[in-house]
Amino acid sequence: MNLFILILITIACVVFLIFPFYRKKEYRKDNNQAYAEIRKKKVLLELTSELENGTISKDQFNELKEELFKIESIKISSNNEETDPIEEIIKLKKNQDV
Amino acid sequence: MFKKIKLNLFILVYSLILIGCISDVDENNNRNYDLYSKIMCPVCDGQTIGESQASIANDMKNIVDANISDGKTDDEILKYFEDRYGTEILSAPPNNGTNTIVWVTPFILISLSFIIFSVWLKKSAKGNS
Amino acid sequence: MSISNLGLSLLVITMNLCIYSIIGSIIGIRLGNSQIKISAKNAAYCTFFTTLISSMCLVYAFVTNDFSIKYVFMHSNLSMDPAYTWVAMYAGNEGSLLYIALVISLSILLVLLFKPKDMYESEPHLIAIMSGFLLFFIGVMVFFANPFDTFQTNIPTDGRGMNPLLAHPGMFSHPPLLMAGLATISIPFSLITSMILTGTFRNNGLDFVRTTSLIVWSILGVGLLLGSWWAYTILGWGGYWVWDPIENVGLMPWLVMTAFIHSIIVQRRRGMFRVWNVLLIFLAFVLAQFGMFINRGGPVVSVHSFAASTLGYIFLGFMVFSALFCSLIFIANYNKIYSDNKIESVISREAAFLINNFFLLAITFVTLWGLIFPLINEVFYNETVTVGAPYYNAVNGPVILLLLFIMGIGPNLSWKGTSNSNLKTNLLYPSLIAIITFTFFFLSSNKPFMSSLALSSIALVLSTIIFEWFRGSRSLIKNGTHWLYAFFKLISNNRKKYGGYIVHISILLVALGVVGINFYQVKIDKVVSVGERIEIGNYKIEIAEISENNFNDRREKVATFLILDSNENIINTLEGNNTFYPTFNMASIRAGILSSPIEDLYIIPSDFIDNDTMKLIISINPLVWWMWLGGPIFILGTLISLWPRNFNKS
Repeated sequence: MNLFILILITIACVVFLIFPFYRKKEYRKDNNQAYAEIRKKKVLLELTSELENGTISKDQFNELKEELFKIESIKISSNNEETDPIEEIIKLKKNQDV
Repeated sequence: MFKKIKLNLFILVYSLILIGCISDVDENNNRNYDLYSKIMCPVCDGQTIGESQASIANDMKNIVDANISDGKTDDEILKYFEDRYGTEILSAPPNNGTNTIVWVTPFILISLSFIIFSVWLKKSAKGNS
Repeated sequence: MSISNLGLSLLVITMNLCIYSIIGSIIGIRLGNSQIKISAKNAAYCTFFTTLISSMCLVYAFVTNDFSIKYVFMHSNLSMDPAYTWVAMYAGNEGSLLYIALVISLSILLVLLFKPKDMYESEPHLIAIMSGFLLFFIGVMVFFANPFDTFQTNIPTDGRGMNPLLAHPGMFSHPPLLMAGLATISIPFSLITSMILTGTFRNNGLDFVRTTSLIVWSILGVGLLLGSWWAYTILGWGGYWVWDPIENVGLMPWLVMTAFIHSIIVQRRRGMFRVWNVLLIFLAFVLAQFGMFINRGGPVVSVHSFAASTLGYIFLGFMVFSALFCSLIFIANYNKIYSDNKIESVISREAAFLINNFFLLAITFVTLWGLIFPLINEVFYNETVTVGAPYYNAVNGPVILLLLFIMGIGPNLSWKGTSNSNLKTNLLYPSLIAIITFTFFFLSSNKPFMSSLALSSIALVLSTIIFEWFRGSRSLIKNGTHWLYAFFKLISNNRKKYGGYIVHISILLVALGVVGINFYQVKIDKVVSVGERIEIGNYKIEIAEISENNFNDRREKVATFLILDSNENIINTLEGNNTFYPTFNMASIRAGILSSPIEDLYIIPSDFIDNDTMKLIISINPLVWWMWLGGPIFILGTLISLWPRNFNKS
């Protein structure tokens, strides 16, 4: 009885592990669009809070908004896992104009 | 101006508290229980003779009681146990030699770091406004 | 196949799943291949089920009294109350490791299911770190501390029994909550680490970290309070916290987590304290591993450490490894973490949070120092000393008081800087109330200074909260809403803030209980006979009966007390017992407790001298009831603080 449980669980785990390799890649692409929207919202939130804190100016805000939206959409479409920290760029921009 | 008052009030309260703690605070109404809490039970895991109900703990409690009736001071009673069982029988290191370090280090470190911290805070606040 | 073989095999499978999960995640990250990543994620999901069934095997063994398994033999017997067989699993070292592994695997499952969709970039890193953490515990069990180890010959027919001190209702809640709290510190730790590694440690991406941290912190807090309650009711010496090393190692991570949950508020609002927050969560995590080492390595002696074992070196090694790992991550990513937003005013909420961090860390340091000092002394100077309650009370006491003080002042300061008029409005009346309270108690009691100061701090904080509540609901009341409704509406509209205030109130309640029992306790001891009466406070206690019950594994001596009020009416009957367990050579004392909001009457049957004479220690502990009330209020406050709004205002 116990042996049976063990075999059952082992098989279940193996199935679970192999299963993703047989699913098509499609579902990843569908989510891309949703992710892009969420990411844009996050970028906006981040920039808005910096603006409210007074650490960037309105001009910087608008410049960065366009720039970062572009980067986010490139990132999603290229499936590139190299990430540019958003704050790194904001910081760079702030120091540039000071 | 008001801000200065706030900070000074803070320092005042802190010092008052320190003074209050350095002065001997008898936590129980009873001198016997206060002494019990200062002596560890030698066979129980980490309990004072006040906390433990083991027979040796009860014996030690009786010795403390007898010594108090005889008119011995707290220090004499604690020394009595220290001589017989070693320094580890006391629940907190006595104020002598290397053991003072355990008491003094935290006080000094915290007070020092608080001062450094307050100075730093004031400086960075001034630098910004 | 025996149940123990099944249990162990499942642990081995879990171990392999963890390794697969870690390596798969890393390869998936390197190659950018999402199929491998998902396969690794599935492996992490599977670890919960395999660990769960393995745990069920151990519980099954206990419930069916399978003494062929050494661990079952060591922690249960046939005469044990059957209810405890369901929880004896975590009564000892090996089984509690399995429990912790179960908690970690469950938290992996829940975190992966509930994390927000936009945290997908850091997901494989998260999986690798959490699976690594799980792997450690599974590995320790498989190679060093197998809960399923069996007797090969001479299978015993009865067990040794569970440690008698654990046969108490607290056994069902305190150990599981405390261990779960400590183990799940790995959740915010892994979240933050994975965010740092992928450069997504954003000031606005912290909601999920906040939610998980609050849940972890509250579980740990409730676990600690339950331990206190348990100590008060079973150890029978009328104490609730003794600064025992095991208590201390549970407290320290909780203190650091308290600093953390406050500090991330500032990061979210002002983009500050980023470095602080990373350091705080790293410190909490390392302290939790330190706790494991102390708890299972046995370098310190305590009423409730698990047996001393060489396992200690393994946990010490893991703690050192964790510390090195954290340092590496921090140093390598410092530039990404650091923010140059600065504090603008000393009289601001940010500054108050900073001071709050400082005091919490100070208490942590003092506690750590008291714990390590004897070890250092022994290793370097070959001297043995004990550092007990007097040290902790003397040194931590003032800092805790200052913490209370800040708890009252902080919320009344504004962000960036507070104007003088705001300060006056918010703090004038509460300060007056605090001063009046201090004067009143200073003049009226025989223990003036510290207790009055403590009570006035409590009054200060309480009045700041109440006044803020009135100010906040005033506008609603002006518009015609009933004041009670306005009261609740205010909470509902500002859940985070008022949930936080309710949690602060629960802390005040605990503080009130502490002040009561520490400063105003009255205690006497007496040798009495059956039929005799003792008077203490407003109570008369008559010894009604002394009896003895003998069982297979224990000898119980029970005393029954009648409690009479000043008019000779019997208001209650209490029982206290002193039970001796020969197998463990241990006595367990249960006090008779009559509890009311004003005070507890606490009767300890200290010594049974003969058939009708005994020694009693009786104390009146004021206000302890409020300390336990703090528990449910604490949970309520946390729930309110976490309650989601359907409409998310940014």
